[in-house]
Amino acid sequence: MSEESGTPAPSSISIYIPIVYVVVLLTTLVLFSVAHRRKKLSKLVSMKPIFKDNYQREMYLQLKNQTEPKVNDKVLKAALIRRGAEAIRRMIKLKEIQQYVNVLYQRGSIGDDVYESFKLQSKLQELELNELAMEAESFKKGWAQTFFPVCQEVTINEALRRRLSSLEPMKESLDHQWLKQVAA
Amino acid sequence: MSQSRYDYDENSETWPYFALTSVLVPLVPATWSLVRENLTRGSKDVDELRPVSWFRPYNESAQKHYKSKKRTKSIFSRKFVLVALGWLLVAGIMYQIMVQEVVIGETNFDPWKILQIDESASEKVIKAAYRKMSLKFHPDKVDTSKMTPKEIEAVDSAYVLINKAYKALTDDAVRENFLKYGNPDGPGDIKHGIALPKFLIEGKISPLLVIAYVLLIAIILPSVVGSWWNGVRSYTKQGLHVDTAAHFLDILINYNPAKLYQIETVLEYLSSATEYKSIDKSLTPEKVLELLLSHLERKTLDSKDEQLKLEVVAITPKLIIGFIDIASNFRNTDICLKLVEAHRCIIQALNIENNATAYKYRQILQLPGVQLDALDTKQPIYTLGKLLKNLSVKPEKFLSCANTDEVLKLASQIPLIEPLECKFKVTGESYVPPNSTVHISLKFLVKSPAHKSKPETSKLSEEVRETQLKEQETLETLRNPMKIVEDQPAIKLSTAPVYFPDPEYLKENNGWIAFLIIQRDGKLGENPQYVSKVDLSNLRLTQEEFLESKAIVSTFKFPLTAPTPNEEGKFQFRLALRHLVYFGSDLDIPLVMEVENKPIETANKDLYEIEDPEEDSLAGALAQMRGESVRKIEDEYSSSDDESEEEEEEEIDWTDIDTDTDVEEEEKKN
Repeated sequence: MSEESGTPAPSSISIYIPIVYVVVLLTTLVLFSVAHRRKKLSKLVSMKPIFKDNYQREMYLQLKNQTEPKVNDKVLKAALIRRGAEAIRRMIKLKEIQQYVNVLYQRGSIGDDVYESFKLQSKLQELELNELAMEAESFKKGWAQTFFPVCQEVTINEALRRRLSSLEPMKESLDHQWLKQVAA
Repeated sequence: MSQSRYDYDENSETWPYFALTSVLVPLVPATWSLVRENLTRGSKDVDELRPVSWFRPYNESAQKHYKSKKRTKSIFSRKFVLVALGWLLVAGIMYQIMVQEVVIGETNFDPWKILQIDESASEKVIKAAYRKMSLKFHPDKVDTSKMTPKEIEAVDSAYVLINKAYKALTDDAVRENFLKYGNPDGPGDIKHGIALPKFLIEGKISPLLVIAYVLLIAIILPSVVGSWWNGVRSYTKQGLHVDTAAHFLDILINYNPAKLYQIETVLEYLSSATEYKSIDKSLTPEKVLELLLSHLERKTLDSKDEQLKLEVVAITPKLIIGFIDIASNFRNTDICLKLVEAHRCIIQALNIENNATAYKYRQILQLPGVQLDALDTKQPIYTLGKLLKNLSVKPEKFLSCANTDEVLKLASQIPLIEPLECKFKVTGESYVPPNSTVHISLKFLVKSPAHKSKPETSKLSEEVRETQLKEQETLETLRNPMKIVEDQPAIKLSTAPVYFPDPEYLKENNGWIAFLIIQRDGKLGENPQYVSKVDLSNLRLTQEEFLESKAIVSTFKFPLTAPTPNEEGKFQFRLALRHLVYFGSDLDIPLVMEVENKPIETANKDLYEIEDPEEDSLAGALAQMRGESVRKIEDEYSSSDDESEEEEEEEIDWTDIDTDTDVEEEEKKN
């Protein structure tokens, strides 16, 4: 080793080396961040929504955008109430399951993704309510105050109807099962 | 030597040690865990579920194939291969170290080694050794005529070294330095080196080393850590895949109370679980459902499908348990009960839905070898008890299958529950006060279906009555009311169900699952509990022994996480016990929780009465064991000037000593 000690050899490193180093470092970081963000976005897009398609909302938007022939205001209002009813139903459902989902998440019984999508859905639902309020105001000033109680009544009415109309098929399938067991 | 330079391992004497250490550090723990795993498996084999020897299920060969495949997989796992490779590497390095000669040169000058003497040698010995060596290596004495110049040079340098060594050893100061610091100059700089062989650093492969280094730090390490982390995150604490859990959650969120949920519906839900994909990528949910249903029908498929079927069936109960966990969080009674039913159906390979006769005779059909076609279905023998105790019809005639005796023997080993007492209990209290931590205490007898009636409580042996039925309240049971349950042995089934391929699973999930249902709305009040610790020795008793004092009373406790209601009143519950493996061992117990607020009786206690013994005294401990009251010791820091005031405080304090500690413990558990 003693041979090496002595005057250090003049360095032959080019001035470009540090610049290249910095450039390479920065490009890697930029590439990484772009890829990461893209991945995150695609994950958000591919997230399965908690609820099925919102037909009421689609219907209202279609009717509103229809220009030829112009849709009657009354029809539009009715469609808006339907949309509001669906929004209220979802709101109630989300409130109901929120405690369960929280407990499950705390206990580690469900993954992070589901929990994220659940929180996302809650936020979307709030936005939807805001939008509904604005839409209602655009029809008539001050309607938003009475709009939501009406929607709630529609929701409850529909829920009752659903239960009522499900009694018949339920009875049938129970009948079917009972008969099979009695017959044997 | 310049300060900024590091030495590489020129003589390659350190790097093998370095390599050895870095191999051994992960290898030894890995080997230890592997050995322990195999040891515990070996010991488990002793209490493994006995397979039924006298009956051959239709899928016997497939099951054998499945089990042997699983066993080889577990023995020759990746871990095993890695550990074996690691030890080979260790052997290689050890060999390297053993054969390596320490080249003596300028860098590691060791005078003792050169003179081939011990470090403790006296001057005389040193001299003698020197003389001997110098005679041998003296350039004039060695015949150099036939040597190559290189060899001659070696001999010369050896002679020089010998001389140097002798000089070093005969000089006292230098020798001292050697002994103390390993070099002739006394305390020197601390040497820093890199334990890499030089050929790796300065040879042609040095770029390769740099690349390897970059790969390790920048790519391999992050990706390994990342995949580990993803693996951790992709399974829930209950062992379900997160996608499966999300799927189950989705089902429960969109649960339709108006729909009738059947076992087949439940199996259909299960069939889209992600876990099945890891068995075989080509498995579609439809295929899984088809396989599950063919398992329930006990249908033979072609050999490839048969294997797939067994693998699918083997993991299904685990998924069902996971589903129950999520569904019970949603307080959904219907789905939970249906899931337990599906669990049993999968384990017993019974389809009880398609055929009403099969449903009626499900308890009989779960016995190995019993066929629905062969049963005498005119006989209304639907339960195990009737099968074993009915004397009017001979079982041989009714079952008409081979080995009737064995079948009956097996049937008599299926545990049933005979409840003796079931009530809400607050530890240390005789009633249920509001806002307290309560548990359900169920005292029961395990009985065989062959046992008639149940023994009178008075006929039970005194020990059983005193310790198992009454349950003495000691300090320990007050602190941990579950102790009596935990002290019971784990359930051990006598025989493995014949159609289910994975006895490993049944070692743990072989008891009852208990649901607490609120009668008001039919929803679950708490998460279910598993009854997994019960002494089954009652099953071996004869009828007489069972009725006489030989029977053992078992205990099950269901702790409620929610405190009792704030207001007084009666609250109706139902405790539903469902056996996870066998049909016919279920139980539903209606329960009433009577919350009442009794006045604190001791409030009007006579002040001049003999005081309760102090908590920390011997008398206090005895009194506490008898369930009597004790005086709580005052907190050390609270100054007590006024005695009467102190006593007033006490009276309020000590009545809830027990509940206080309970609450604390509950919190710790949570």
